[in-house]
Amino acid sequence: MSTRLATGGRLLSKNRAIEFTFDGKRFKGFQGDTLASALLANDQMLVGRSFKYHRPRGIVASGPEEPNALVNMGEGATFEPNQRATTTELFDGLKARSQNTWPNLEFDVGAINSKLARFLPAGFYYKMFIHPRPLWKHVYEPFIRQSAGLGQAPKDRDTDTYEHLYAFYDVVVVGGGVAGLQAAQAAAASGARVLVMEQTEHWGGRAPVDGGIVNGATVDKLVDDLVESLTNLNNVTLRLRMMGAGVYDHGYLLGYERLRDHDPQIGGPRHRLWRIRAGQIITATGAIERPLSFAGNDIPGVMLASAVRDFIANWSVSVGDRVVVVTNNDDAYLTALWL
Amino acid sequence: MLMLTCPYSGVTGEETEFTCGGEAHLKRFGPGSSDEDFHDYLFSRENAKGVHFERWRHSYGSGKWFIVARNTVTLEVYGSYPAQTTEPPQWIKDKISAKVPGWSWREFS
Repeated sequence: MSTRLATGGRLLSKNRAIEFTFDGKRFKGFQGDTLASALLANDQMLVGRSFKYHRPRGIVASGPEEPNALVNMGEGATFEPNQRATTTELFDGLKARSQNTWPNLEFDVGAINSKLARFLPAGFYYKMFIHPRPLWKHVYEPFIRQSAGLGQAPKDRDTDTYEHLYAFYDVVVVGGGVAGLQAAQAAAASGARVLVMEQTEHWGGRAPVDGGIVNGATVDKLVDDLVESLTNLNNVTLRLRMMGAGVYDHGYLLGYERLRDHDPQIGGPRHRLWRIRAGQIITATGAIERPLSFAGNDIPGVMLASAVRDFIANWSVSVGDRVVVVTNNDDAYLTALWL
Repeated sequence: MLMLTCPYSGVTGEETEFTCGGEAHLKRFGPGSSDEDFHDYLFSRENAKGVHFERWRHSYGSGKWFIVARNTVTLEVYGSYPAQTTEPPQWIKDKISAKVPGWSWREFS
């Protein structure tokens, strides 16, 4: 039973409520939610089915490392499959549908595959669909095409525009956490032209959630101060919602900026590809948590410990009343404290 | 993406301005040479892992051919010199030796 808590929510604007639909059902969320946090706030843990055996899948992480919560987003010209619910910022009128299920998410006919697992070993298709030969074109192939993949292919033409540009900087910092912001400040102080790119819509990375005291104040304050001082410098470019898409040789890197995925009402291009030549590239991209392996680690409700505290701290969502924390290092105690 | 410098125009540009022309310092054997020499000229290449010499042409610039010394593993470019030589100039050999002591490529080192 995941619910919204009464207080908290660092990234939420609780005075701005948003309506969205998931699988045809209408839900409410807040400005600042991701689709995943809003679904959890509405006690919707089940978000999809696995590829082959159609096992139920729930939200696992809180960031781009999410493997399960892939949804079909939008309709018609804006339809796009395989969007991660954890990186999709909620906007009014968002429509999402779960993938790889028929007729619906709770009761999926494809789940019969897991009962037939005996007859579907790895590579079964090398032997199974060969005879009788005439059946391939009109029986086997359509069936395979229909059941393959997770999302659906868009049928309408994409009406959005996309652009690319070339950019040149002395120092490019990939990652807007504390390390990246401090590196940018040091580089800017030496007079270099600096670009800082952060793929989420907020600065500071994990630090404001994981806490810590710097110079007698919480890390939030340090992050805010850094951002403010960097914004005021005219040799520093700060970009949110911009991902470092690849770092190549001789200082070449690609940045991918998503301009209006969070608010389709904004005009202009949807995404922008930056082709950047940098004198120096600093990747301050942080770390993500590795999941533990154990029997049943794919059941909906099994989540990363850092994700659990992210949902509590950032979006005031409690993922459950009774939570079991399993750990092999110190990090999970932070989650236990948050709970 | 490599950054190369044309030694004639002095222009440093991304590799998309240039066209690669294969391995450098090949001895050309034409009609009248032995089969083995001709075969080697056409097909045998060093394919070095490490220090490598390559012909490049500044196709979107001066249009001239030059030779680039680079490292195929670290993607470092040591320098470029005009193609009108049969041997890399000493300054580039020294530069490579400073980075990769004891290197050798074909008969040069």
